[in-house]
Amino acid sequence: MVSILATGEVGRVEELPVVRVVGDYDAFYRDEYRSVLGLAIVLSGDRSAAEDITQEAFAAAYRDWNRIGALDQPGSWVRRVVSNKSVSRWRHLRSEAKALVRLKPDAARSIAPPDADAQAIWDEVRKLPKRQAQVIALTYLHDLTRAEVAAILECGEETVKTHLDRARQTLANRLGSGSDA
Amino acid sequence: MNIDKRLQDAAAATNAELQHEPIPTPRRSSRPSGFASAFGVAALVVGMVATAVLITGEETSPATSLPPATQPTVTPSPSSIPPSTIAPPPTTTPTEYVAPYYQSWSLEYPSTWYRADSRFFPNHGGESTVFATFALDFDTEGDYCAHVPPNTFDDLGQTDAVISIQLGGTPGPERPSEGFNDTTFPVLPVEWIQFQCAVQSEVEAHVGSWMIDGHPVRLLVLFGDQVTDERRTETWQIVSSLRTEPVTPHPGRGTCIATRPPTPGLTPPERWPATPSIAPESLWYGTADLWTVLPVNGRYEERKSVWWSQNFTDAGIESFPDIDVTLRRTDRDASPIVGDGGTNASTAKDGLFMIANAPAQLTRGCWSITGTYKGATLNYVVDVP
Repeated sequence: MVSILATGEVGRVEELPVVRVVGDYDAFYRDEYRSVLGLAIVLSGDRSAAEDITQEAFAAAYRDWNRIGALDQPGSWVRRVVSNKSVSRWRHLRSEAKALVRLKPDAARSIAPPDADAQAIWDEVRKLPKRQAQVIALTYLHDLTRAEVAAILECGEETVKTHLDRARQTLANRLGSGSDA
Repeated sequence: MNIDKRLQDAAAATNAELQHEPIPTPRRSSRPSGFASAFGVAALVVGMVATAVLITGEETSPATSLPPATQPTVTPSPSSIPPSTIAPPPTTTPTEYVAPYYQSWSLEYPSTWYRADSRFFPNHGGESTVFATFALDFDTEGDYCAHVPPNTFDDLGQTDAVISIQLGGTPGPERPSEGFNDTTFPVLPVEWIQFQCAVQSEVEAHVGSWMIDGHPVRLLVLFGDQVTDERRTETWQIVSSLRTEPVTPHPGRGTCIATRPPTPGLTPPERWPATPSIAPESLWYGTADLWTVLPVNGRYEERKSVWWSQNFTDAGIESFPDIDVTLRRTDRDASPIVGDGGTNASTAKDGLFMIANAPAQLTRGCWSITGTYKGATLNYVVDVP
């Protein structure tokens, strides 16, 4: 991925490798929807926003399905879009919450996933730096390898390992668990 | 239970719940631009009202193009807004701002703008300062995109503008003789910045590196999609007022004495070599409890902040050593840069060492650098040309 972070210059978005066969969108949607929704819920912390983000990502894939459907892993493309938008959504919610508290102290809402233990874990995951949160969610929720996570996030495997180690260490400290990282 | 197991259990619980999730009919098209969830709409309205309050000193109506909120609205009445959030009435006198950090620059901006109080450190280690016309706090934690936190993009109102300034980096073209404007400043494709920065709103982003007074400067300018011509003009005037030297030189200027390592240099414990290989014509400097590497001639060399200690011998146990480094300008008034923690590193010749979380590239000036690790402290001075 070309980034203006490193150089301050404008880059181009690199195209992913393309194969010839375009898959069936409806089957793709049915197979991937729940998994991608889970990623959005974990990273955004907001059920309705997660549904919206997930639908937006699939709709974007549908609009460009001739290209996206021909990718080796169209699911990776959707996961990248969802993981980026979900993290942004979480930060946006925190910002909104700060503004709401400032303007009307009782107006901020709580975000409450159903499983309490999982909620505590994912709450802490969302407080991690963006990349660390994404790596944790993709690694554990989707049981992906470092190489697969690296492909989705467009970074190196060593970068994934570093994020994973740091995230585990931070989570272990915050949650009072041992780290085997 | 270790963290790995807890994460696996949380993932299993979440995935189990998802198995019962009904799959809705796929949406075939994107929602109209500006759409947000019900809560998002309400919050956006609040944000816009607050923005207007801060910019103009009086409340205005929210944008009429937004769909109505279906949840109870949280839009405050004027009396519910704490007085502290209302800015003083704007004046016509521009405010001169001199960067209080290690960067040397100043500019003038109208009092209807405000400067972010927090400092931002993007990936490349430099520090950027952000000026804006909108009201929501910057989120200084976590990730950055185009030198500013991503929520800066999402919080941008339709008529707002943001300027991010950072010295250093890649040299660009000289500043245009007639100042910056839309035609001289490159515009990012909106799709690019929306994708890269996960931006949900319509944003016009100008990003580029320029040479100003002989110094490379990175600039980011953002406009909402309904920014007025007046605000555009005002924005470019602010950018054009940028100077890369403060108006009044600090009395300490020109008196910098860089630290030179004594000859012979420190001889470290046996597991490390007697002289460093990591940098040419350099020596070890410090004590066995904490040392670094400095050029013999005292000339500044750009490198990461590297430190050794006889108490740092196992990267497996201490992957992220608790090394703290503070950098202070001695030739001008400036807030110190405080780097918290570091990571481990090693080379075959120079053994195990620490890389502190501190800028690798310093701007011109006199710097006092102090490292602290396990009770040991080491200080040295560099003169950055």
